[in-house]
Amino acid sequence: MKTTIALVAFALLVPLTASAQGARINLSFLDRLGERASEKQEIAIGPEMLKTAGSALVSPGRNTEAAKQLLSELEGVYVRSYEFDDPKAYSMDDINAIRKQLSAPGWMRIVANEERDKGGDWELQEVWLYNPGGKLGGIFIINSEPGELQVINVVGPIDLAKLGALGGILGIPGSVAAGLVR
Amino acid sequence: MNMDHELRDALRRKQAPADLADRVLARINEQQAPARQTGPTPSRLRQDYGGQSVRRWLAAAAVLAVAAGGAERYYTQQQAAEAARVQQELRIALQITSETLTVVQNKLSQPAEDGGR
Repeated sequence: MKTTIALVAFALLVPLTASAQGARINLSFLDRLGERASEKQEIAIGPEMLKTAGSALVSPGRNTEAAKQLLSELEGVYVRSYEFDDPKAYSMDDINAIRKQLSAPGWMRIVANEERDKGGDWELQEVWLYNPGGKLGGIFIINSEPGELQVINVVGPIDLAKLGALGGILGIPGSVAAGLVR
Repeated sequence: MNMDHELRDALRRKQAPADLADRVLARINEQQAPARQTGPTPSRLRQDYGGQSVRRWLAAAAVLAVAAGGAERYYTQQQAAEAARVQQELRIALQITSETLTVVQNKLSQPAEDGGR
């Protein structure tokens, strides 16, 4: 009987775990870039830490409850932001090590912008949504410019209709939040 | 032999006084009575030992209470510091996210440049 209950619990929990794991991108490929960076921010906030700090971050005001709920449902926020003295400190291969993971089922690219000039400089901006089964489970953002790289992975169910609530509350400009909701 | 005579007289059996036994017992009682008054009785000993035991337990409980209070205060302070650190990190993370999204939005909205790119 105990074995049956354990198996049922396991079967119920596995899809949740798999879903959260699916939206989580391994950013450790960027560790060596961090060593070369002149300025860097490496932030990894897991679900427990989000529960501790998330709601306290929202100051009272319009859309407070929606913002609190959005933060309480998040399962992780992982950010890498690097600035380099050398504009060619990293290559597209470094980025592709991360982007390969986005070929997994469930990921969908909604924004893509790539520019190359004759001097060999390039820029890349991409926004990906993890949307298995029609339910948004994560966001991945890359902004790559000469001498600069930002990679952001937000894990967890995100209600796009509520994302607009973050506009102006958490320092996210209203226009950007509204733009995402569109 | 004068000396012989004196010795014989000294060793001659004499009858003990009639109240000798009473006097000896009374003397013994006089010597033992003060000792009994100063020494603790068994029940007194039990009371004293019980009192000391309670005091020891109270002292131990007080030490434990102080230690537990200190530990709880330390834990609360650690939690508050951890929460403040996470809040700061989350604020920075969301700020970077916001700025990156703004950059992406600007890149998409700006008109395509001719030549060069």
